[in-house]
Amino acid sequence: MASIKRKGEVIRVTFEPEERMVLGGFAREVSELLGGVVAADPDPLAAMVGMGSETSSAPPEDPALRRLLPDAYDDPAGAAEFRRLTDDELRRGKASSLTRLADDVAGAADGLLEIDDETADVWVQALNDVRLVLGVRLKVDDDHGTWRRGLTPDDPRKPLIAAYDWLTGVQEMLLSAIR
Amino acid sequence: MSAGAAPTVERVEQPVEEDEVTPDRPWVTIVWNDPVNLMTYVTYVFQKLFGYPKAKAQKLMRQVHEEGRAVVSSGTREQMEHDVARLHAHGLWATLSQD
Repeated sequence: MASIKRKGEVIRVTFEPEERMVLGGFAREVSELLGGVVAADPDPLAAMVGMGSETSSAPPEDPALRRLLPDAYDDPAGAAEFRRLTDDELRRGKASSLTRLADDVAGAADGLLEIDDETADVWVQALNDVRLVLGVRLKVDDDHGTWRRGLTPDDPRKPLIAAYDWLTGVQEMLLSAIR
Repeated sequence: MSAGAAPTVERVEQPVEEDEVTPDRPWVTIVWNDPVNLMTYVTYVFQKLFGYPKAKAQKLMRQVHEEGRAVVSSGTREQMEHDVARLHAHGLWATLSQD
C-alpha cells in the first residue's frame, strides 16, 4: 500500500509498482484529455498575444472537461469571453502539473520518492483533477454516496471505483503531510 | 447535499448614469459545492490562495458544503476574475458576479 509521511523537510512517498502504473496512467490520460503540454510553441508571437490554436470560447462538450474548465460567469456571453482569454493557460497549467506527477512517479526507481512541499502542492492539484474526471465518469453526484448504492458484484464500474477510492486516500495522505 | 443546484444569480438592471459599472457594488467570487472535492483539499486551497487562517478557511469550506455555496472573496471585477482563474486552476467550481 502507498505510504506518504513527512520526514523533516521532505515528504517520503512509497508506491507499489502497480500503484505507480495506475497513478501515472491516469495522470497522462487526463493531461491528454486537456490537450497535453505543448513543449515549444511553433508561433511564439501568436502565443504572446493569446492566439493559441486551442483557444475556444465555447464550453467543452465532454462533461469531464467542462468540470475541469468551468464557466466563470452565469451569463453565457461573459463566460465565453472569459474562456476565450483564459482557456489556453488553464489547460496548459493543468496538463503541466499532471505530466509532472506522471514523470515524478515513473522516475521513482524503487517506488520510493522524497518530495518537497512545492512538488506536493503540484501533485495534490493534479490528483484532484484526476479525481474530478473519474467523478464525472462515475456520476458521483452527491455528498452522501448515493451513487454507490445498487452496485452489483459484477458491476463494470467496480475497478474504476476502486481506483477513485485509492486516489482519494492518496490525496488525503498528501494533504496531511503537506505544510 | 446535492451539487445539482445550478448557479443562478439574478441580475438587476440599473439605469446607467456615468459608467457602465456601478463602482459601489463590489464583485464577489462564489465557490459552489462539489461532491468530489475533499473537505480537507478545499480548506487547503482557501488557505493557500487567500492566506486565510485555518479556522476561516474551514468555516468557508463548511458553508460551501452545507449551504451549497459561499462568497470567498470580494473586490474589483479584475481581482475576482483573477481569483476565479486561480480557483479553476485548483479544480474548485467558482464563478464571479456583481454583489
